[in-house]
Amino acid sequence: MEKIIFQSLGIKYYDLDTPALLIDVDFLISNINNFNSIAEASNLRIIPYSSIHGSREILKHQVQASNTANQACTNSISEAEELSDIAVEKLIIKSTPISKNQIHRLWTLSQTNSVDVVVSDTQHVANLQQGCYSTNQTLGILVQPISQSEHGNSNILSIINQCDSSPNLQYKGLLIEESPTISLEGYFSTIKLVHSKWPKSEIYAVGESYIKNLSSEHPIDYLIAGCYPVPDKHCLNNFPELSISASILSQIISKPTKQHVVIDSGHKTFGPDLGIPSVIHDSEHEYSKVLEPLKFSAEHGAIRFPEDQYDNIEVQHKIRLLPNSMELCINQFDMMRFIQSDTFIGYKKITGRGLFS
Amino acid sequence: MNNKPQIGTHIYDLDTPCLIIELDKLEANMNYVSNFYATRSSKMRPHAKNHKTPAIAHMQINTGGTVGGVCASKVSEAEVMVNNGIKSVLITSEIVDSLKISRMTSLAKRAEINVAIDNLENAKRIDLIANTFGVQIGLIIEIETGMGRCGVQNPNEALDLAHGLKQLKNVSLNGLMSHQTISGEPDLETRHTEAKKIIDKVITTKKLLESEGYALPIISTGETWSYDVAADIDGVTEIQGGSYLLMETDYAYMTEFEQVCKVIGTVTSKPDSSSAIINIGLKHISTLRGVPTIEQHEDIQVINMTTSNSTLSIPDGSKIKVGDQLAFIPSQQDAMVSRWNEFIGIRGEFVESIWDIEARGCIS
Repeated sequence: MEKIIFQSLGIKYYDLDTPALLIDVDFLISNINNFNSIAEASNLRIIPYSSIHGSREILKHQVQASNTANQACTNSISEAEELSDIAVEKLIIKSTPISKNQIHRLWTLSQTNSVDVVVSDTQHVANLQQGCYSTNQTLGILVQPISQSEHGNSNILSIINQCDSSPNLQYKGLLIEESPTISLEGYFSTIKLVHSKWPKSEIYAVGESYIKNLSSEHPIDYLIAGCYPVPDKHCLNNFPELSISASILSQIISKPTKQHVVIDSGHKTFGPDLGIPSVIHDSEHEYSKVLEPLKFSAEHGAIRFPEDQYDNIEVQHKIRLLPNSMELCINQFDMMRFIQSDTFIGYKKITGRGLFS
Repeated sequence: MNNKPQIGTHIYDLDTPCLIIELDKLEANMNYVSNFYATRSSKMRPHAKNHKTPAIAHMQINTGGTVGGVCASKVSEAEVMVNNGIKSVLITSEIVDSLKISRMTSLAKRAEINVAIDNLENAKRIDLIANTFGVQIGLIIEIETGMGRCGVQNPNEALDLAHGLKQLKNVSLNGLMSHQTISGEPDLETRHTEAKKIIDKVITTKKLLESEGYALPIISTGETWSYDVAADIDGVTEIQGGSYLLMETDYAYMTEFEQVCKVIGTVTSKPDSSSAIINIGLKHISTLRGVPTIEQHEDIQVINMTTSNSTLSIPDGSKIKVGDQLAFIPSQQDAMVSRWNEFIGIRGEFVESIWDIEARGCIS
């Protein structure tokens, strides 16, 4: 657990201890508003997916924005438990609880919160019903198609029928998520089939990128999304309307050659499993414009520069980097440093971090 | 929210995903190192960055074969170790920021602190702040030996730096260090050849500095892949081994060490007869040196990983079903451990201990 090095509020972000996860509040809020407008234009309501950032503070900003459903979605049961006291109408849990203990925890959570959980197998439904320990409990069920085949569709219908015959489970709709095996068209044909039998089925799609591929006559009701407040490289490529609000402040600790420096941030800072970060070119730090990431080890990063820039780059200089995957990067931290107008305004705990099961 | 399992819980009843260590194997790896170094003058300085857990660091030191202290990669990691009673820490990264240097020098009130260095200006800053705190900080010149990271580039640069340090009163040149790596699955002969070639640069530097009158009590080099070669090179005093303890597939060729640490997950879906979905993803395990492998299931491959799940390719006729547990073995373990809050220690089939990974998130 990160031990906070207390630094005075009001100092410039550049003076913060490194590596530091910076969140610019103004850009955070403008991103939320901009993305909600984009979603509104596509006739979608947003459900914040807090597992991307693990932050109650960011979730609060998301929920307060217009066009956001008063709901929140998490990946795990433990993340949902952590959010059980927030004022939202419903919590959606995207990963199916499997063990007896997790199912018990789920039913316990459902006594204080309205909870929907995602399933993809008839056994999940049987397990959930079997784990119910009080007759007056109810759990909402979202069904996730996982196979684009006749067998897959038949499985979906079986799951929904099973829910209908389970006294404590209430089928709500379908959840679709980007998949290497199911195309958007494949999902749409499943949705059509389900709507023909259960016309009130609500359709939830996971991930910002869905908006890019939707026609005006799409069947999706809700978009579960979490990256847009703190967009990473991938999200910014898709949505140039958004701004960099989250970044990593790192420090140059060595200048061993005339072509590269070493920074104090590596895999344990960025979680670069899906791609390495980019250096942000800050106008007030000219040297940042010539720096280019080379490679990262567990603890450090090697950053190259043109040899003729050697005299302009110094040990102790700091740079900001944009992670390739914000979810994997934020998972490395326990604290966010909130800034406004380049000034440090406070620490915020990442309360959902490490809550995997 | 406390969702930690109770001591005595059966492994099949654990909520997943979870990070486990097999205690018998952990102890076997510690004992192996203890026995290996028992008759040698060089000793292991275990790297705490791999497990980030003071309880484990103390076990390593108590088991033997070590210098009686640890390496730490960052000041914040060193703080956790010293605050939990570790008496000697070598910080293997250059510490250049004044705030961090202050934190580091304050630790020297309670423990022996040595730190890597590769430039004189940095040494001057450390000296100035150490003077304020009234402590002495040991400096270890880092020599670049093929990693393309920090360190002086050649023996003469090291000598120049050593000369520069003479003027400083609150730091002392205590030695040399280097990191190195090797790729593939080298056999014993290749490991010996490569390690000797690399470490020779350190020994050459040592001889040069000693010929100029510098005493260098610490020559710290070697890693898990060269723990045995470096140990027998004349002049090497300590080895910076980390991975040997928990192990990873990248070092699978080091068969004297057992695979200790793994992520347990549960099959959540089986879309068809040739694939399955498991609740382990990139948030739980690093792919720094490749995708993880699956324990006792060489016929199952990880074919796609998202942040929270993985898709597995399973052979036709496989009896894998929804609800089954599988164990992922990491390709690289310290970038995995840093993603978790605790280790669940398993003996046989039952939970025997739970250790908070106290230096998790300590990356500054």
